[in-house]
Amino acid sequence: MLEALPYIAGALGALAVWWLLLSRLGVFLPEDVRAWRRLAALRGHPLPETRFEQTVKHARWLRRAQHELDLDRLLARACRDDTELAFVGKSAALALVVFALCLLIDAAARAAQGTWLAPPWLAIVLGFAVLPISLLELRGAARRSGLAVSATLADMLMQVAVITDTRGLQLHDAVRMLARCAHDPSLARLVDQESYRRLAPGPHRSTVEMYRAIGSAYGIDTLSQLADAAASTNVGIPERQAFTHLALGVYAHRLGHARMRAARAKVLVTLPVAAMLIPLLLLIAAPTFQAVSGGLGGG
Amino acid sequence: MSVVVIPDSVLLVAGVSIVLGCGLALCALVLGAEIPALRRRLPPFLETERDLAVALGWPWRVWVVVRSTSVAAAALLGLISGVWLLVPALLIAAVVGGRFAVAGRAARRQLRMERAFLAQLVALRERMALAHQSLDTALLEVSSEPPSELVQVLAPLREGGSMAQNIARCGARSRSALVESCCAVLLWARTRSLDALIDAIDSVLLPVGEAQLAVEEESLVTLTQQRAVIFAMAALLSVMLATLLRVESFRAYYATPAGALVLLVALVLFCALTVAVGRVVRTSRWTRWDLEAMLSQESRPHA
Repeated sequence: MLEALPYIAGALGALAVWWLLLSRLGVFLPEDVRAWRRLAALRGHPLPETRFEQTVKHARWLRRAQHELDLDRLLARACRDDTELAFVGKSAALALVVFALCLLIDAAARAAQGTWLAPPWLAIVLGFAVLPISLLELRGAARRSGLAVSATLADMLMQVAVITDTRGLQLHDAVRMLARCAHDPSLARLVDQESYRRLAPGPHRSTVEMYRAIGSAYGIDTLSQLADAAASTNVGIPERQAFTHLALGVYAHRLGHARMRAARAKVLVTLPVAAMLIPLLLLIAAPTFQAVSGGLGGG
Repeated sequence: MSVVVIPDSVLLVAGVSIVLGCGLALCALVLGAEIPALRRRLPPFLETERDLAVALGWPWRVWVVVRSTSVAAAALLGLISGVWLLVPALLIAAVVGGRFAVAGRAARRQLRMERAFLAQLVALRERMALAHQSLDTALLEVSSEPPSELVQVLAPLREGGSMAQNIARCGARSRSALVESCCAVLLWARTRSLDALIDAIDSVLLPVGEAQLAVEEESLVTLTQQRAVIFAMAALLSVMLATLLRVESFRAYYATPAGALVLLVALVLFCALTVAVGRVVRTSRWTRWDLEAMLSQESRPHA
């Protein structure tokens, strides 16, 4: 029992920290205070920082790590509403659960068979592995989201040209409306649900300025090009002509890119094709090797 | 009867970890974390199957019967082989490989359908510009004798009723990004004037549609290369495996756990390399549109 005391102390300490964090985060605040804070956040007013947030803000190493990892930018580009702390908390929770489950399975196997199924430190490694995997997943989501936004924007240009010309709708209204009709929700989240305010909060004096700011902050070239096309309509070029030319330009770029990929693929594909010989050889070699080694052992 | 006893210390550490994990998850939720899995749509398996069936021009029921039969045949073949690992492997091959096997043909047919649709757009434009027909009459006449690739797609236009609804159904039935896009433009441009619509077809729909077709053709070339490579390697692997399993000693080896492990490693390697080929030879994706939603937006654009 004595050997379990450090663990109990650690557990109690962890629980105390957890309770402290919850209280610092305002979970135990009265309902009306939280409602006022929510309203203030919705209206964009700054909220008083908790001591925990102040500590995190002033920790230089943490700021440096945050800058390196750039979680806020990644979360914004992935069109996720999580805060950085929420993302870290979620990843840490997942890591702890993975660690606990691996350890429990390993221990159950040991109790049943008398030996560890895998070394117990593997549970710690697997738990820690969740953190970089979460980050990689976030980076992937940010990249995919950017590509999807670009693709949706490029594919809607033909309709934008017609809507702005025949229906007289403003560019931003047309883009928002069409974004809602696309199967992929990335552009709708960015433009229609205004998640762009995270990296490009504004205020913006015009659609052109806003699109340039979003395109620059989120790394979406098509949006910057759309802003340029919209700017050209201000000097007399008809909207239909401007957006149709942009659509043709985007498709010409895609065609060039597709041709380049086709040419490159002819070379690159030889590597996996050559590697495909490995499973073939494995299928023949494994039983032959087993038969030969069995024969030698028996002889 | 043996009793499974887990050491107390392990239970304590695991328990504390779970409690901490739950606490952190609660904190994350309080801080506004999202759960991406809940945000995603339902698995698009059925949607992809429907896309393939439409692209191949097969009725949905026929497609379901063919797919079920191929899966059942794969399971039977796996059972006959006597190697238990081949049952799930062949099942997966039937589900994924079956789709892959017909994807090239489906892409070619869809491209033909899209080319035919653009040709029909030219015919529609000629009817409106030269024969002075209204859009509704021109659409009805164009859809009365459609080319074989467009019989199913243009069928709603022949059914009467609201022309806007029919155009939307036409696009939804095609399950093609290009046709959906063209139908969307027709929906937006049809209500202003005939001249504006003709102008939209001339200056927007046809040039942009041709450009999109050119990209798709180039992507099809790339896709054909990729498929040829994977087909050749899959055929080689299958022939080799079938030849090996005809020999008694080899079959006995692959029925053992060690043999099953080797087979599993070989299959996983093959799948990984197939995925690698797919990543090397990636084609561009097009945006699909929800035309029903667009129709409701079109009816109240300033809402």
